[in-house]
Amino acid sequence: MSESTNPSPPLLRVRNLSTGFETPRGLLWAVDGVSFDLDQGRTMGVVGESGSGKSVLVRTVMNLLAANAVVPDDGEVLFRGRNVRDLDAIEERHFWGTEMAMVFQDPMTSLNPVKRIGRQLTESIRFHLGLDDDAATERALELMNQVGIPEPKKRLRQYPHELSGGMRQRVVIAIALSCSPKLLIADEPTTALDVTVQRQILDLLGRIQRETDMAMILITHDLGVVASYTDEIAVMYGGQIVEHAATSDLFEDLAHPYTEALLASIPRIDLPSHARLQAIGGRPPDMVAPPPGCRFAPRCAYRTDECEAAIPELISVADRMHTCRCIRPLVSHRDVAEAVVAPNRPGSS
Amino acid sequence: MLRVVGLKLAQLVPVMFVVSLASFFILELIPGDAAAVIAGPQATPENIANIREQLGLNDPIVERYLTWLGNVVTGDFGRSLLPPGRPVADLMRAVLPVTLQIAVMAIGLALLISIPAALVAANRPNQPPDRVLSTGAFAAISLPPFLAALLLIFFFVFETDLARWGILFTGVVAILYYANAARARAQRYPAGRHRHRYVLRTGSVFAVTTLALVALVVFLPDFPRQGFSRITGSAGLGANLRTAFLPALTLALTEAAVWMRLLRSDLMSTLQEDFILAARAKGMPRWRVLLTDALRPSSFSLITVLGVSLGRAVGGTVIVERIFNLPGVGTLMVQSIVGKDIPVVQIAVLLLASFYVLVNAGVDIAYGYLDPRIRRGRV
Repeated sequence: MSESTNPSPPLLRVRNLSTGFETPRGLLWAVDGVSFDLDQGRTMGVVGESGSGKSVLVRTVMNLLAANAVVPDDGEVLFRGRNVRDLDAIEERHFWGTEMAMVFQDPMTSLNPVKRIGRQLTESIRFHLGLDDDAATERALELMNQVGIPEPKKRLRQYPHELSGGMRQRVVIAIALSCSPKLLIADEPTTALDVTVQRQILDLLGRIQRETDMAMILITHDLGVVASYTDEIAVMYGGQIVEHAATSDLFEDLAHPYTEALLASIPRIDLPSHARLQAIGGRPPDMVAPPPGCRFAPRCAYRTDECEAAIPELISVADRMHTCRCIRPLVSHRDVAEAVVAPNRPGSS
Repeated sequence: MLRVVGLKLAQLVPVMFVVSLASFFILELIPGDAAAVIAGPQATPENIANIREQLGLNDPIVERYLTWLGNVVTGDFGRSLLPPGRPVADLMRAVLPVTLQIAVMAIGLALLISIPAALVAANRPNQPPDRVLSTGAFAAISLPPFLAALLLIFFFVFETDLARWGILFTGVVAILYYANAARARAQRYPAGRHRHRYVLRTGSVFAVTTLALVALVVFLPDFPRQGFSRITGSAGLGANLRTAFLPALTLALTEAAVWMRLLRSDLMSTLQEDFILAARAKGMPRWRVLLTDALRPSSFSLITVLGVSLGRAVGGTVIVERIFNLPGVGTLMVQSIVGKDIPVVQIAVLLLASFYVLVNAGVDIAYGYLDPRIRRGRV
């Protein structure tokens, strides 16, 4: 839609965004000072284990939070130059669906069980685009073709329980696409699906993203999934981005010990079967009272006392686009290892 | 859907048979002799024996049941034992419309009160409107029907000025509360055309509500203390509705309070569902999500209780009928039981039980309408 050659601000700019929840034990910071940019037509993967703040991050970006959520004012979500928290009523009404749309994790629960597919698909089209019933149905059929649902006419009259999981997720994607959003957020879109269907859904998302040139945020806890479908990857741990790099750079030159541990825990086809998977020992940090230093330090294989002194800054390693929140990035470890014994670690580049 | 309804109705046949057995035989167990009642205190044993023979009370019980069932099925409900011995069918025709009208009006009123109240409360839990409504519901649940009836009579019949002021005060407080909320919300519209339109639209809603409130207070109808005016009577529909309103409201108060609490908690759990978040993420307005996405999946408990309530309202509202002096089923039943007028009681029990069974069959069918997932399963 807008000129991509223009050196205008990125489609989405997130700055120092934090989200807390009131709990009986105190404020729980699920997202803690996250910043990133996302340009139109790019796909960003957000990876992390359960509870690392991935879903809360995107819900904060969409401004779709429960009433007990706390978002400090110094955090900013600028979408096409506007702070989403400052939208007025008219803008807000047409913000969800037409600007940003979301695909949820479980298509079993994210479709209303008592409404026909057709109505769920056309209601936002009618509401946002102001089309009449016939035109909206026309658009719905077009969308269902686009996401590869066979016999779309019949499906429109069916209820969610009459469709398979993969078909339902296609419907959810069709709903998300119905008003041509500029940014699609897919929150673990394949976690609840069969392995064979997972790939189809990811291929579908990738194809649609290329066809429509929208931006996409793909959340997953599976590094393998994001590798072939994203342009860049942000690894989250304890509510913070611990490593952020272009996809190829990340796999070639991973810098954060957590990313390494995450990769090591993926089953690999070239290892003998029944080989024990490497789990990450310990538990995710308690976000009401997080550790004082590096959040990952208690579970890190490379931990030193220095790690627990202060929260490390997000610093550039290797190249400017590759950032990492570690005082001893692995990129430099490897140099150290090659240099046999080095009393002083080289500083980060 | 038609097949499901047909199947459901077919299933009712054996149930109705059992109902007829119970209506007939349980009453046989009541101590006392109908013949002795008819014959009166001065009767000789020969008199009583004669009457027994006339009534067929000496026949074997199974034969009597079959004769009775045959008569009932062919529309012959028999005659009352008490003088003047009117046909049971006539007695029923006199009392059933009264009770049915009150029951249906009570259920309707209860729905009109409970659904909006539950929506308002569940929309923003623990905010002032929810607090007020939930407390009110708690009070209404704790109120026994006879006391509720007396209070309603006190305010709406004898102290109508108090009632008027009460309605006016409550209405004004509610309108002021929401007007204040709307004023804050208007600030979120961009100044100019959009804010103008919002102010105009909400302003007209408030104007209509205020007018309705004033009209209600000024033209609050005179409700009669007691008695019942039939729709077919000379006084017409208006008089009929006025006599039926207070009894119906008495019955509705408790039901509405229970339903509001039920629906509120069901709505609140439905609102936690993913599909509600998904509907909001589609950009659907809050009230639309509440009405079109949340209400229907939340209404199962309500429908279940509604069936039971309707059956209860038709069967046993003796207290309300007594207080408002209504010629209803409850009063007739009590009179007949006391007078050992067994044919009347049998038919009344049979009709009420059949009604109850039918209503609950309707509830079962309604589940299928509410949730397509159980439509094609076992019926």
